[in-house]
Amino acid sequence: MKLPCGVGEDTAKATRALKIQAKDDVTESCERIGWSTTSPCLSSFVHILKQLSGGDELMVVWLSWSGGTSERRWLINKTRDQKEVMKGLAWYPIQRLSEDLEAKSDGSFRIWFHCWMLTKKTREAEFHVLAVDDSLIDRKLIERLLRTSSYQVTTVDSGSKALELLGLGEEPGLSSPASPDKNEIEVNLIITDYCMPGMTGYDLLKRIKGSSSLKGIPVVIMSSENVPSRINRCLEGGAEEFFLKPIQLSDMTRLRPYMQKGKVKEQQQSQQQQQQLQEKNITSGSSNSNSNKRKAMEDGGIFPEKTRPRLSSSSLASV
Amino acid sequence: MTPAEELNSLMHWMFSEGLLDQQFQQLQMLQDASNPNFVAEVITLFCKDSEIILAELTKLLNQPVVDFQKVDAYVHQLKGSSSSVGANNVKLACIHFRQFYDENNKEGCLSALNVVECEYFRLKDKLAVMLQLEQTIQAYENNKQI
Repeated sequence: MKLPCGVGEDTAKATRALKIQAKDDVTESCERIGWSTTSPCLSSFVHILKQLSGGDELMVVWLSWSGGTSERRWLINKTRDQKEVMKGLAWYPIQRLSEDLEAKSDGSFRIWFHCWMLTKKTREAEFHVLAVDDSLIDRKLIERLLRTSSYQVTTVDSGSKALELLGLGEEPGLSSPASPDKNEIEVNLIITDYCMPGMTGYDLLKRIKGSSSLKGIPVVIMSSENVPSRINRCLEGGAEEFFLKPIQLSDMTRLRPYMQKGKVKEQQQSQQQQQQLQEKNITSGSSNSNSNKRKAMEDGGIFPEKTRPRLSSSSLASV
Repeated sequence: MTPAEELNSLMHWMFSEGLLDQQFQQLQMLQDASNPNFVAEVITLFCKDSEIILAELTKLLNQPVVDFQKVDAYVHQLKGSSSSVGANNVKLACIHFRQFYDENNKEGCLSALNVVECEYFRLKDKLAVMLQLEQTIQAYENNKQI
């Protein structure tokens, strides 16, 4: 994502001024953003607003700009009074904003924007991402990137720790049905570095895709090196995408579709498994089904709501 | 010059000299009211990390028999972290380093290490000034609001 104006004092000023606060609670938030740019960069300004809003609908409530004559012209509401702004007077869609700004801009003037933004939607952390990277700095970065994009994040420093968290034992193919008190987390996406000591990102990918309980989780791989054969190998191994480091804010928006797809798949899988469990319990008389019943009752019901790795181990019991 | 003007001028210079690149701007964009010290934290981590790596490299390269694989691993790590924080010249110096340990060239490595160190300390100096100026400006703005 490029900041407007390229490098220069405007960029530094603008970067400091551009702050958007992610609100986790239901109330609407109002942030004031100051910007200083030259007119050819209008579209990048709007582009950045869209990026930072994470694709949510942000409406600009008040905007002013001044051209070379430093005469301030009002595009939308004139008020700067926060209470007035919070009343949510005129919702001004971002799309229209970019069109109007383009129409008004004059290539020869510097344009200075002063705008309020009201986040209308609640930014809920509906998705949980597990990030795996052996570099502390990269973990810090990816965590911040993900949280800024309103995802819930857990970071670990190795593939083996990731597998532990997900409920997979050390040996391939072994689930952990015998330890129900292990806190297995629910994860909607795994983003992992490729180059890690011990288990590489590719190894982790194969383990996940090789596990009946985890293979539905989308996996994205990151690497600092652009090696086509490596990229192909990962994509063929089941990775959704391959990101080149350093990861940027704009890359985060590419994750959402995988997580949404993953959630739909999980629901379908859970419906399937509930059906299978139902069928197994009907064919009674074998010790197998007894253990299934016992297991199911331990889980607090024959049809628990969530499908987690433990439940899918019922399919292992029949092996 | 006001502190703000000084900071702008410094940033402009750092970018144009290649000390920092666009990735650093990404870091700045990730800083907000809920994480007001993000950039400073990342920079601090980077500096700590880098100095450990530089010390290890010095040790490794001063052995009678050099373990070039370990050298590779450390330089790779430093290249990664400098790329992640936008430390452009440091990153380039690391990339340049590679050819020497690929050739198992001890002398070449030593001189390449020297270049990396120079770039790193040059950057560290300027980052310290930058953080200082930001603190000054922030303090001023806080006072204004009261």
